[in-house]
Amino acid sequence: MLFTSPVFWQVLVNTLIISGMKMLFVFPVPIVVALMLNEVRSGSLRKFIQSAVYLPHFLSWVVIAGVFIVALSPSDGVVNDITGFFGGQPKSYMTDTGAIRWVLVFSEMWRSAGWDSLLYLAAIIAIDQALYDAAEMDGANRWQKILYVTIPGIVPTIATLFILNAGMFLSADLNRVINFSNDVVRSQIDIVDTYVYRIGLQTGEYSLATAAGLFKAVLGMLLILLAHLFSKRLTGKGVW
Amino acid sequence: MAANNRRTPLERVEYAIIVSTLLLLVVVTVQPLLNLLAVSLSDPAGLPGMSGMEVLPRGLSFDVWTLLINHPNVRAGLLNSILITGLGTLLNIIFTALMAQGLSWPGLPGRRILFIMVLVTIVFDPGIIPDYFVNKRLGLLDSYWSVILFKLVNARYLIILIRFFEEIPQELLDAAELDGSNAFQTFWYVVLPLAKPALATITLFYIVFHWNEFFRAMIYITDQGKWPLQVVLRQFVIGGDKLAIVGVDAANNYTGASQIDLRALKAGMIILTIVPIPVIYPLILKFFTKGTMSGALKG
Repeated sequence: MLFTSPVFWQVLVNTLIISGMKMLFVFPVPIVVALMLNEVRSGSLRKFIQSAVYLPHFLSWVVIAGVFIVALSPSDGVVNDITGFFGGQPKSYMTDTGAIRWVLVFSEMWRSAGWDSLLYLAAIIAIDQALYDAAEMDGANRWQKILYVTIPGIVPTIATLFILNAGMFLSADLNRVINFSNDVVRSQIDIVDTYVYRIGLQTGEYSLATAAGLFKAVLGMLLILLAHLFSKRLTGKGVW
Repeated sequence: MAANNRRTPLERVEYAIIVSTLLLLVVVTVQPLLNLLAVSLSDPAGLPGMSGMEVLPRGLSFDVWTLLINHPNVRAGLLNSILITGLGTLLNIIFTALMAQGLSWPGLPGRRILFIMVLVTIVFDPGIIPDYFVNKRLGLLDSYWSVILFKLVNARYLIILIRFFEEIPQELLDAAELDGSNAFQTFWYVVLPLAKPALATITLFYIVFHWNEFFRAMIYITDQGKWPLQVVLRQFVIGGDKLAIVGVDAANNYTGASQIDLRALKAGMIILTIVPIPVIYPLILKFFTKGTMSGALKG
């Protein structure tokens, strides 16, 4: 019954698209942020930047959705004020079926790009300083040091987080989607979790909803295994 | 990077680009929040035409804040949030600390099995429907407990605490025992004081978790009088149900909240829901990121 439901396939495709976009556009950002933060020499400047960019991680999705609804408002939101300054037409991003997935991706970036960089930064700091000194002795410039010392040093961290992310691939975060959703764009961002919630708790089709939830969990487990094998082959590091 | 006195002009340009990119990131992060604060504090006369880019209030008026604080729904939400967060965090700490103490004892029978069972809860999420039924069968629906008891012991924080407890030298525990203290006295007078930084860290994280919880409150609590602030905010801002705050009578008679700009009301409501976070945020930075931040200072 689950597999013959067209709605289920639609939400599965939506989930895959949204998670894929997240993996492609959000996952690398904290790595870049950490690499940049590591280059900042002044301790107080770095602390100031860190304090600011970590903050959204501690806000709830209700609050973040509220912030985005206001910031993306076509009448007085900051985004439309800026595009308007350059001659753009005001656009209602929250009710635009073409834009809403990007809004989700960007909200995720806004929330976690800073905080997630902390893990990478910790990994960078753990790199032996002697490696940098040796590289400098050999005449390496900033980019060569990043490319040949820093990045290889944080590959295990990247691999671990990649695997954990792969396990969450079918989740795409219920709390986020439920707050960014509205009647106009629902078809674009309805994911497995919101589907389970809707047919389970709102319509009362418990067995169908549980089946969908179980399907998601099994597939998630398989994805973790796949990502683990993939990462082991590629970097020699898995989660276990 | 240290003692790099012979920087080339190219390196200076690179550095400037890196720093400005990061500062741009700071602006993108903070500006929307400052704008909301500014809108909520602006004089009603200044609001029309106020751009989303502005971060300073136009004029100064506390109308929005006075109204929100005195509003029955908001006030109830605030009290409910404080109750859930306070009681929830207290129980979290008690149970997490006790469980960590038990699991950090090497002689515990079945320690390995218990550890694996803890780890399983990190990897596997039961899903919404089974969770719903557990709460239903336990008779927790429409009760604060459905929200408070969820993740009473968060496995991640438990592991942090266990690692911390394990670091405590065995000699100290032995010495306490020699002095005639029982297991509870050792826990209370020796272990807990030594674990203060770890306890502080997980306390802060539990506080944030409870304060930000909305989904469970939304699906399990049907009585609106028990809603935490997050759900009130959601109904008003996300659901677009302005009557929830303005009130039907006020809207019909154009009195009270209906006279206040809806935009300012929304902004105020969002900021009000954020308030505790900036309050405890410096502590989070102090305890949690201390190691990372100070370690980042390379000689």
